[in-house]
Amino acid sequence: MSDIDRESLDRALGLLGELILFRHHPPIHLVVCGGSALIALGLVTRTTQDVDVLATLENGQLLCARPLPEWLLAAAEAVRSELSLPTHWLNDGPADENLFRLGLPVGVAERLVVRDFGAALRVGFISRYDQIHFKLYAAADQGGRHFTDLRKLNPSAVELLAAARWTFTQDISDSFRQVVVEVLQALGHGDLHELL
Amino acid sequence: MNSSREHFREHVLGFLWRQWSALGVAGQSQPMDRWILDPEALLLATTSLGREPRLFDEVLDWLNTNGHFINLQRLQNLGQHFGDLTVLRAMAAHLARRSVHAKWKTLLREKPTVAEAQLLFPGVPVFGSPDELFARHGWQRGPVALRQMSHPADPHRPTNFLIKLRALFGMQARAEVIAYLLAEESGHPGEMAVRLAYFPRTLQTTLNDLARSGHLQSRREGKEKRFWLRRHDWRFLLTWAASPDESAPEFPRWVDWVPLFAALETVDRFLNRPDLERASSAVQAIELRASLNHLNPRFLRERIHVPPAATGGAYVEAVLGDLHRLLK
Repeated sequence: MSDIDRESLDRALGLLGELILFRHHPPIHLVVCGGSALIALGLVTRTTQDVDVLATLENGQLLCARPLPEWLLAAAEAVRSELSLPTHWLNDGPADENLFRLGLPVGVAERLVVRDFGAALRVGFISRYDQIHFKLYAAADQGGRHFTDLRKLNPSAVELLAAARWTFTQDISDSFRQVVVEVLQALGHGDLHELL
Repeated sequence: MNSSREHFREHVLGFLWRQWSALGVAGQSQPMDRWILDPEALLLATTSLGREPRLFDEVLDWLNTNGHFINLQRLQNLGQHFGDLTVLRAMAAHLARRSVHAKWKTLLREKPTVAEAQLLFPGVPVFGSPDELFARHGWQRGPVALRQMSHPADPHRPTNFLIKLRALFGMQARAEVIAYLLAEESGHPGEMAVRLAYFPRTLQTTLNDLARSGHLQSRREGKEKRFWLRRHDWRFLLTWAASPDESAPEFPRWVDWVPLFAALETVDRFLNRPDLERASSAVQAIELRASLNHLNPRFLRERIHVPPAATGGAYVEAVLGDLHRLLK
């Protein structure tokens, strides 16, 4: 079992797309965030353990990916065996219904970076702008690697301001607000708190 | 895929020929294998894997002479796991025409449901009038003409140990039980019921009856009761020469043919899937892996040793290589 880098991500999604077509499953458009989206877009050079599916896109509408269809999970498991990928390499971990209820960043669907893996699998990778939103939220919530990723994205003040405002729609508590400010300070943008 | 398919088919047909020849089917003389043949499993395997005109008709010929040595109840039990029952029933219909083989009518209780007849021998067109009995079961083939060249199974070959015991003890589970215990040294009823394809109650009754003879021993191992035979007492059955690596002849090996034949059938189906012809080697490997997942896990664990890193074409080749090795 090996971690996923850019090359193995391409291979895994390519094989998944081929298998979906081969097994006559319906075409699917997955919206992917997290480390694998950063890697796919060349925004970071690291490996990841999984491909985080946030949503599916149907008729221009983002739908919560949880739960992923059984046939997709079965195909992903087959790809895992073939390519020695980590267990649950394709998962709906970030597809929290609350995220959809409280609202994704406005315009996220239009900013997706779309790639086709065969005729049956389309993957929309969350754009850098939206990654900054998700990573700021995750860094304030969990810290660690999310903060590292956020720093690597080298966000501008304008981007961080928009991201911070969005994170407050997800968690309105004062304590969360305080942590976001700390993250901004750690990124050298502590002055933004006055604009929040 | 094409060359793998041809290579596999050659191996499997060669193997089936060798086994049937050992049982008395007319053909070339074959080296003496040191395992116990299972006539029911072999017949079922032939219904799916042995559909080559010459072999198939020689097997039908053999059944015509030796069909009374086939245990039909066991055949039906095994037929739930592999083989093609419609082909088997067509063979039974042929045999049952002779009063000496009337018992084969038990396989014909179900009325055949035929949508569209298919060629019995893939790639071999039907010449002359199609055989009516096969057609009734959904299979197109030319007229059956048996050469009547088959021989009775030679009791002095290790492969025919089970037939020899059936000749001695009758067509009951006790022939398999004795063969198994002499080959494996000991066994317990649950394990034997599975490996011998009998109902557990039949096995238990047979073992209890045999134990009353004083020749079958038993001991408790935890919750299990294990039975065994004193091999020395049964050496009179060893009526063949020792192999080059033996100082004296030994009892032949027990082989679980059912999982092996089921695996061969699975791989044969895989190799003949037209949809895989143009698939990538990775998808082929994935589909083969998925097919194998339905097989006996113990068989896969013990007999198929694909290197963990083997993927794509290397995986398919490794599985085929292991199966070829098992047929040697």
